[in-house]
Amino acid sequence: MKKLLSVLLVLCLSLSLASCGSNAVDPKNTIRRIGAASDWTGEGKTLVFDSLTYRLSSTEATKQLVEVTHNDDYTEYTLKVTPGVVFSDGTKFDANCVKYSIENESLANSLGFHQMMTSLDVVDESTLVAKFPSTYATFEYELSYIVGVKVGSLSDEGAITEYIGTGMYVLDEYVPDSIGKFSYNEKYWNKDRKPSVTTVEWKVIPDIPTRVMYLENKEVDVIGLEHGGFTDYATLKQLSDVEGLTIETKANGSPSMYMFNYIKGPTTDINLRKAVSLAIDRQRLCDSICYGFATPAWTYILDTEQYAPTNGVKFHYDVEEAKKLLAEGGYVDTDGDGILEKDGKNIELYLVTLSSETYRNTASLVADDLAKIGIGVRIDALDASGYYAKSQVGDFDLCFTHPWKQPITYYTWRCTYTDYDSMGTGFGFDPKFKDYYDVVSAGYDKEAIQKFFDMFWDEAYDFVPAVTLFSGGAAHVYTDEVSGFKWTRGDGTLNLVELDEVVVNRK
Amino acid sequence: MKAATILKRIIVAILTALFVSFTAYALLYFSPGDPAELLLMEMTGGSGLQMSVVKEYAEILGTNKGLLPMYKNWFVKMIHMDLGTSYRTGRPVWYEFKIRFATSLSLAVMTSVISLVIGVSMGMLSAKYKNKFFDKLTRMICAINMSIPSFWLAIVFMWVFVIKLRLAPMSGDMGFRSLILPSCVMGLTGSSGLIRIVRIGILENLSAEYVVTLRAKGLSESARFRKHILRNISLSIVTMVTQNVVSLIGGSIIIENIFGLPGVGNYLIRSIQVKDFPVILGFIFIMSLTVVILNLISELVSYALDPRIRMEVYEK
Repeated sequence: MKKLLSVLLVLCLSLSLASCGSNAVDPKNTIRRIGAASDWTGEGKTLVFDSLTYRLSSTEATKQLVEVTHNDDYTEYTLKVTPGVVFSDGTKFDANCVKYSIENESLANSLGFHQMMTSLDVVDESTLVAKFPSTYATFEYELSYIVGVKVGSLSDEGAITEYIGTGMYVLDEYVPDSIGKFSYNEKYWNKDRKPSVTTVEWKVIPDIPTRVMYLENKEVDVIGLEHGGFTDYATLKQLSDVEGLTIETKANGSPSMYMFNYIKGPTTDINLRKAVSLAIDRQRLCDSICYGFATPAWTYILDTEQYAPTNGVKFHYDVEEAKKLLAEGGYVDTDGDGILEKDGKNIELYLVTLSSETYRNTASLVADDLAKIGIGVRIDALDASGYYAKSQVGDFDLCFTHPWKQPITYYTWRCTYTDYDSMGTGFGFDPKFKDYYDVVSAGYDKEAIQKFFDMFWDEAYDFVPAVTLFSGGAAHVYTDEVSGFKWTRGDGTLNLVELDEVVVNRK
Repeated sequence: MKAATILKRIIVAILTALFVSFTAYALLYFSPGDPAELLLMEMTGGSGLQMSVVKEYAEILGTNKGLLPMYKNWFVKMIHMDLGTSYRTGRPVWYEFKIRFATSLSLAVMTSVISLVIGVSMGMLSAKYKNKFFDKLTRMICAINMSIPSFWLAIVFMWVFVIKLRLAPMSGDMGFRSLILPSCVMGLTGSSGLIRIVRIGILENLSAEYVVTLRAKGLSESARFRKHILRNISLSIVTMVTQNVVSLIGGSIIIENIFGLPGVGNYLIRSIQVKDFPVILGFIFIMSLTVVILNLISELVSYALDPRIRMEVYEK
């Protein structure tokens, strides 16, 4: 017995001793850690790999690894490799690398040019020519989604397997799903963008409360660099009271919204759709769920976005008007249960949403708002697969949907067909929208595109295929030891995490 | 145990692992969601995804071939010791497994050692001081400990030992040091069951006739404990510890998440979310095999410890 107790004591002491001691010293030019939800090979890959062109905005890009020129009708592009670009191992970046990246990178498969391009030929070591059968003006922009890789460094599925890039940093150490350690790439070709931070750690912390705890404890310097920033509103509220932390928010140009099933079911009725749009108290959503980190959304895209409506059409909040519309539509509460009926049936909408806290709470408040005008709501908060499965077959009356982003891309994605897609019904409610495909997808006649969108917005606010909720503010949260984080210019792995302006203030 | 019996059990283990992996794969195959679409959604954030693109990507991945042809492809590769490559990362499945398995196995072993040390010592003390203050306190702590969710305990431990006392590292990338806190959390959580088993086992044995005989023969208390009682209860301890190790290898997902540990469970869950079939098939196959083999080892240990089992096997 005594022996056992002694063993226990020795074990406890050894564990305590082993775990004591301070963590590594943090020099002034080191970002101690970026606290991330997932591996750096997703959104953080631009630390090691440069994109072929450099994205300026949601529709424009300029030269980076290649300079792109085109003929007058955007059917032929010449891609010129930027002189002096080398990989971190000293290998030259040439036209063959560009061709290999464009043809094989997995993300390239999801881009519009992939199906349109008829040929991509290497002319010489630094020149390529891409040809399209008809006008295709967004090629240069789409190249900003593709990173330049060495020939042979992609798997059959297009994933990067050799982490040697032309980017600002070199990968020194990598434990998948745990940590990536990087140092400045001494062979970095773009001397204009030399960062002051020479070593970086990318730490994966999937659990949000733990990530926050890491930040509060200064085990990480920043969270929220990925996917438009950190948008767990309750946690942001909690962090706003913590001394020594800075929360930097950015209004999202693409408000959250619910899509109506205007093809079948009760929401085919325009009066009902309009009544729902009038009955949602967006200010309350922002105050109660977003803790002031979001603003009410009255438009599908913010006025500051390209191709936003020029005539100021928008939704508004008016419960009385909503009730009036329902009465005009023949909705009555005959049995006095507070739920309206039409044709003898109670109006209960089936709302399908995602299962995260913000989405669940939003659905509950919307249901509460609709109850005030006599509309019942049944909520189904599902994981991504369940949600996609329901929305693809139209098994919903109202469902969470992808917000309007990059109008041209969104148009080509969701405005040219009247059917269900993986995120609801889409915006192709008027068949004539698809007639504008060539003009809009070509992307260069901005006047004609604006004219189309003005017509489109007028119809959309009249038809109400979807209802807006709030415009969420993405957030970076960082300690007082660092500053200068840029906002990303993309979504998902299209993000461009850049650290060239980051400054370490640690003493 | 005869070599032929062990060989037979290993063959059964492989067949069981194949059956389990196929069942899991088939269930997932018929669940909602197309792998190509889910992967592209993850890559692009869900915007601008055309169905024609999804179809083309499905062709590249080979996920449009149907349930059995896909399984056949995987099976043929597996026979040649190739578990395929992950759709998501492009890295070989075996590589993905081995880098994570080390973490998961270390965590499981450390957790088991801690729960074993606490469970056996506390269980013995509790039995020794039956119905005294110590015993009552231990039982109360056990009941509370069994009711506390491990993720809550993990956060409390993190707050106390990392933030307040700064005794342990927070990050999951510092090798052995990173495993101390999570294994303490899980070891504590798992120790309660062991304390109860050891306590009950000792008490039952103490009142057994053979112990009375031993006492009558003048054997000392410590010798009775070490040579007889402890040996008799060791069977149930071995069984329980084996089960703990097995469930911890793939089942410590929440703890892996909280402590940022790159373990098997966490990766498997992420792969299931995007239906990364090669990873799912490979991981479940290896894990099933591990489970069956660990159970076999547990049986061999029981065989060595208990003459009754040896006798049974001999009679068969």
